Amino acid sequence: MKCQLCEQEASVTYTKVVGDKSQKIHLCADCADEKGITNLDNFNLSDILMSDGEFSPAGESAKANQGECIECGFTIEDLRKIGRLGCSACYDQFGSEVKSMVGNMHKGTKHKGKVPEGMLLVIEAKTKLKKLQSQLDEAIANEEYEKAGELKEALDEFQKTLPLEVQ
Amino acid sequence: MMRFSTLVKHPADWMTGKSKDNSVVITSRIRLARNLRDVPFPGWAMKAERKDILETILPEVTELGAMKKGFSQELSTLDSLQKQVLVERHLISREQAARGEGCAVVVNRKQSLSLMVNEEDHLRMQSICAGMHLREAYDLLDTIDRELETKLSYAYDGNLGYLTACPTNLGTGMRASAMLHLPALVLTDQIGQVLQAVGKIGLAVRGLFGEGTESLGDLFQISNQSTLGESEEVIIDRLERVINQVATHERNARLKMQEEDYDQLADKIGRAYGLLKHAHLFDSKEAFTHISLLRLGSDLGCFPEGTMQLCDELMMEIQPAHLQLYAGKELEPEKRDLIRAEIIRDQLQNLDPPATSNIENEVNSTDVGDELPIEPPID
Repeated sequence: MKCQLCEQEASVTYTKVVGDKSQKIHLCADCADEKGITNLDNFNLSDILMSDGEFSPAGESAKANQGECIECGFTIEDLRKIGRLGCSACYDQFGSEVKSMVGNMHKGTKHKGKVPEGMLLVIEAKTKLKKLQSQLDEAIANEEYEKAGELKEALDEFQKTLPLEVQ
Repeated sequence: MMRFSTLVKHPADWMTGKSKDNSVVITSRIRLARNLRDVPFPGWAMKAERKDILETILPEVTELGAMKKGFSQELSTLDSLQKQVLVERHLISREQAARGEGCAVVVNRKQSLSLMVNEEDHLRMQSICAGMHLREAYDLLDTIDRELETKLSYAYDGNLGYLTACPTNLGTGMRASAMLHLPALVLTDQIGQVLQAVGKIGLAVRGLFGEGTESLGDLFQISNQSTLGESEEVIIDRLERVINQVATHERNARLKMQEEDYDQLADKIGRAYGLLKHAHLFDSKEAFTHISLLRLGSDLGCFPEGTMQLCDELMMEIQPAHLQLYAGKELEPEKRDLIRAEIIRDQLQNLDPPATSNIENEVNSTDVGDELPIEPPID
């Protein structure tokens, strides 16, 4: 059985019974955690599946952290109204809302296409460069000249291996 | 840098059918959507933010080897007629034409690549080629994308892939499509059935200018809808299979008509020829209908070589903005109909009447029977 939100193996089954009707959903541990299923008082099946198109936030806590994107000020109401997002950070902010929209739009919910390897390499290299530089600065500030010398050598060595974009 | 007038004077090879294998699949097109990280998407950005984004992206795009000596223009510097000409040439989208300051388009010299900055996403890259060549079109864009990704910080997530303004483009950010000319399926009333089957597989069918446009001249666009959960390769594979099936149905329908409805077919092509050569008023729709039959006739061999190319050029030249550019001024719709007929008569003045006897098909065609119009691809 696969998780109904992502494609991982489902390990949690939640059944909600109201009167003589029951509804079941299967989730993986990650999604169950994210949905706060461990806190049974505080969630609603429709929040997760959105199958009826209606969404009612599970509780005050959900409302508070879903309200507005910290990066661009876009709100969840904007998202529901126009079906688009404000910036890439909105995807973190409104993650669960987006997840519930995506299931009906696409063949899957997990990216299986191209990975921008070149970009990731550049980011990784830049991070390492920054780290070496700050270690070097720190060593100089502490007058640990022997250590600074080694770090400088390592830094120069590393810089030689970098592609042009990073240098 | 290439000027607007140069661009207009020299349409791309793919626009005028300078390719032998495009009688049914006219063009293949790939579009990739990319965005910068943590910067508002164009639709949510303030004017100043949009300009910053443009300043970040534009130099990287124009410096690409593939875009050397191309056409690069901020859209606010073009008038609405010029923008409409670019739309009619499929070099910018209708959405992009409607946008104001802080938006630009960069087109390579061959006009096979077009990169839009600040459309719905920060960067929309498209590659078009004549005939059924989705893979080539993708490879071309992929190379550019890999070059750009080392210079621009793309918004990318391990689970959701490339992050886009609209969740319908998440994942690969890729829309692959082909433009098909399907006159025989329309004439034999099979088109509805075929398109319905295509829709059931989860692919989209649209008219000449994409979403929300009606089909003119028996032209149909088929594209993928889902962009997340499958790789680019899988999406292109499926699309290619389905498009090839549709194209085969069209070819079979042409053969069957040649064999069984020869008189009908010859009559239709002959009438289209007569009207196009002699009418004085044509609205777009009617003109497209007849040009479509002329195009079919040239595929069936009743017009000299090069006639199909002529049809493809005409389909571009008779569109409203192209007409007005030709006339050098804005024109009322009635006036356009007059000029449209004039251009058509002028272009076809040396075209001899159809040699309809050429299209009679004595040989038994492939049996098309009553099978389902299309089989869902096996995954």
